[in-house]
Amino acid sequence: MTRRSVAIGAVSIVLASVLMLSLAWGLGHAALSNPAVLGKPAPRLAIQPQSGGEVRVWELQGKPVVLNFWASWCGPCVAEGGVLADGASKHPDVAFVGADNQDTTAGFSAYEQNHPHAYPAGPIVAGSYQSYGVAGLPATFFIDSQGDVVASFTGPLDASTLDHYLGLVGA
Amino acid sequence: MILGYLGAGALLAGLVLGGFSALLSFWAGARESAVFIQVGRRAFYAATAMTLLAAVLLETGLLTHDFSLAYVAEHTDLSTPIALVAAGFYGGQEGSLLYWTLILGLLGSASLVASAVLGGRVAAYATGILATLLTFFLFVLAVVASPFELLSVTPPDGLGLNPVLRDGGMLIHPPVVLAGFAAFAIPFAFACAALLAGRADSAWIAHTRRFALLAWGLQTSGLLLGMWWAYHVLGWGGYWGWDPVENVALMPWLATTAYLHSAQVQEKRGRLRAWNFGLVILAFLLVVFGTFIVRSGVVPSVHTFAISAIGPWFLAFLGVCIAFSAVLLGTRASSLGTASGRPAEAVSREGAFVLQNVLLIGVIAVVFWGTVLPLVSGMFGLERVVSAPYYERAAAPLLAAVLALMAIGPLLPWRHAGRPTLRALRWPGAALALTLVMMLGAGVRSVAALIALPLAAAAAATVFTEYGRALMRKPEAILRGRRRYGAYLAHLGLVVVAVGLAASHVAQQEKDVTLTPGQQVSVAGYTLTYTGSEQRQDGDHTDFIAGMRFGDQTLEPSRATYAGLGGQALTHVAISTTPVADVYVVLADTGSDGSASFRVFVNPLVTWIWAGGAVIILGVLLGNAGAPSLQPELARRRVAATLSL
Repeated sequence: MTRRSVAIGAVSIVLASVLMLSLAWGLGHAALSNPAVLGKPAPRLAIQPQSGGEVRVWELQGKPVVLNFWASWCGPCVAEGGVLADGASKHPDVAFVGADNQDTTAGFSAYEQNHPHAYPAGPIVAGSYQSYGVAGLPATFFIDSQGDVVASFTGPLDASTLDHYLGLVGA
Repeated sequence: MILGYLGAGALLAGLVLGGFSALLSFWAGARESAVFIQVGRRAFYAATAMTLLAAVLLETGLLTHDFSLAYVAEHTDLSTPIALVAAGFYGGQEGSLLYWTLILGLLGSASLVASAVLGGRVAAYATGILATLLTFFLFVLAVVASPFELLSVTPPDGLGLNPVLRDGGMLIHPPVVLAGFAAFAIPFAFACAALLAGRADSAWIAHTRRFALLAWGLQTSGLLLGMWWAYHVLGWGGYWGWDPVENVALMPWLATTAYLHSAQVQEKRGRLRAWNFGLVILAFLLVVFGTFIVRSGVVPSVHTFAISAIGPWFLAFLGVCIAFSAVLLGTRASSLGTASGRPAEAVSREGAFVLQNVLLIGVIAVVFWGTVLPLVSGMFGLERVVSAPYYERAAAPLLAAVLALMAIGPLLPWRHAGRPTLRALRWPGAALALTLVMMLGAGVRSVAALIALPLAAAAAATVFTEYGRALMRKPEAILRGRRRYGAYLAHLGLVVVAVGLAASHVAQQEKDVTLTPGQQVSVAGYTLTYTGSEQRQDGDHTDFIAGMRFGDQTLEPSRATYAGLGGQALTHVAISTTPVADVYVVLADTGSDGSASFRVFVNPLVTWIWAGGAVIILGVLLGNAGAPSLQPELARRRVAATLSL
């Protein structure tokens, strides 16, 4: 092997490694932002929890909001349920809201029986998941205390990802 | 429900067959066992058949609204028009992966049918590589991101499609782009197979030429269709935003363009062998890289799919592809040797091709760096991003040089350019000078336009010179040299696209106005009169429609508000196309007093971009239409190989 080919090989390996490492880093920090709502006031949305009444996202200004879109038929939503419940109990200063999508009443009741939400959750009664550009469940939106959408995440959250995003809304 | 089980079964069967085909083909190739090579190939066909079955089952699930399938429930609903329901097949992560896999299987099968002509080992290794790729995709589909996942409760209706995607452009843009990407796996597989088998000749290039051209044609169409959709639907007056996903689609196209040219140097002159292997591999790695970027959601983009578990798998796949290619090139390329005989001079057809390759690789490097910068800098805690000005400043000079080469290159002879060449260059030279003088006379002072448009005129003059020469001497030469004249036509199309891009970029004008009925607005000499607005209820949305009189026609930009969707509003752009410019009107807002706010753009020569695209496709068709791509001897062997299937 000539010195030239050794040098080319070494440079290639370093470049390829930096590339692969940065891509892997990106995977760990995937901020799947939704350009439609990001940085803008959160679209109007209200839900009706089983306990009755309405929880209106636009009335929660003054504290950060974690708005989670889910459904009883969505497997990954069950998986992230515990993470969100832990997050809600650790951050009493943050309003967690669960918006149920395209669900049956029976499905919703059965879900609440088996995996009761630790925070207000229920079918959407005003506004829609589509105004947030939700295309797959679960999807979670992080709204700051001024009512602006700061970040969004699609897919099941884990504890460290949730903490990362909570940090972004100042929780 | 039953569709879910059948589909998952088909994917699993395909996975097993694909894996079997891969292992057997590599083993049989090393042993040169004709019988097992054939068995391996047939296993590949069978895996493709299973993929096709899975695709048919998914489409059936979509069309019958089988909401027990998570994929169907998440991407369609009962109110989605039937054509868009059908297009849901490639509208989501899992379905579009299945589509990718299907195209890979079908084109792979087509390329393998007569592959025995290349010799048993090359054919077997090509089968092995294609089967490995197919197996990876089928593994992801069967195990990680299945389109046949079942819901425990069947919802009464699905989630439906985002309104912005409810557009005819969405029916055609994704499948064309994805097919263009999948098609490039064929040249990649045969290049690697030739390297593995130690074959330095250009038979693999001839064998996969049509697939490379097909991939290029599809990628070109896909890019232009995406631009067309963005221009007509998104309503921001432009068609290209240097979005990461646009970038990752552009890079394989640039690499494929470079390869289509450098391959000729090897076919005609036996040179650039290692370079061609490298280019084909680069183009395919860029495809895999793009697939990873789009599907992992690592960079924010208008195109990102929902995050799923496939990101790490695609990253690993990209890593394996890079490592495999690097080892293969590193160990085999030095032994390829070069053709004997006198090397070509710098000013020659070969020289022009090499320079063009270097320029295109430069553009790829610019775009690649801009795309990965947020990730590389993010890793070090800096989070830098670049935007349009970076790309334009860095890539535009390189692209202008490519345009200049399009004017000069086709007129240069192989090996050595002498005095006759200088004479041939008088036409493009005259076109360049004439255009420059006319533009200066017309008061154009934009440096970018003064460089791009005269160069485009010169490149067009070169194409006309070549066609003119052929028509005057013997017109039948155009039909006999379809490949060459098809390429010239594609050049002409690209020149037309370039003119459209340059003009609309440099001379776009826009104005924001609020008007009451009867008031006028003038932009770049075009005058529009606001005639008032009205409100119409249309199904699930309310349309606010404004009337703008423009000459003897009335433009009706509108905003649709979807009450059921939390008041989400969608704009509908009104465009009037005149020969020299598009008048592009967006309704921004309506007031309670009957006033309305508009953003009016005048976009010069945008139509040229779409028209140029059509010319390019014509060129690809002419270049690919039944042109003899093999020497008689190879053709005879190919027939024999096909018969022995």
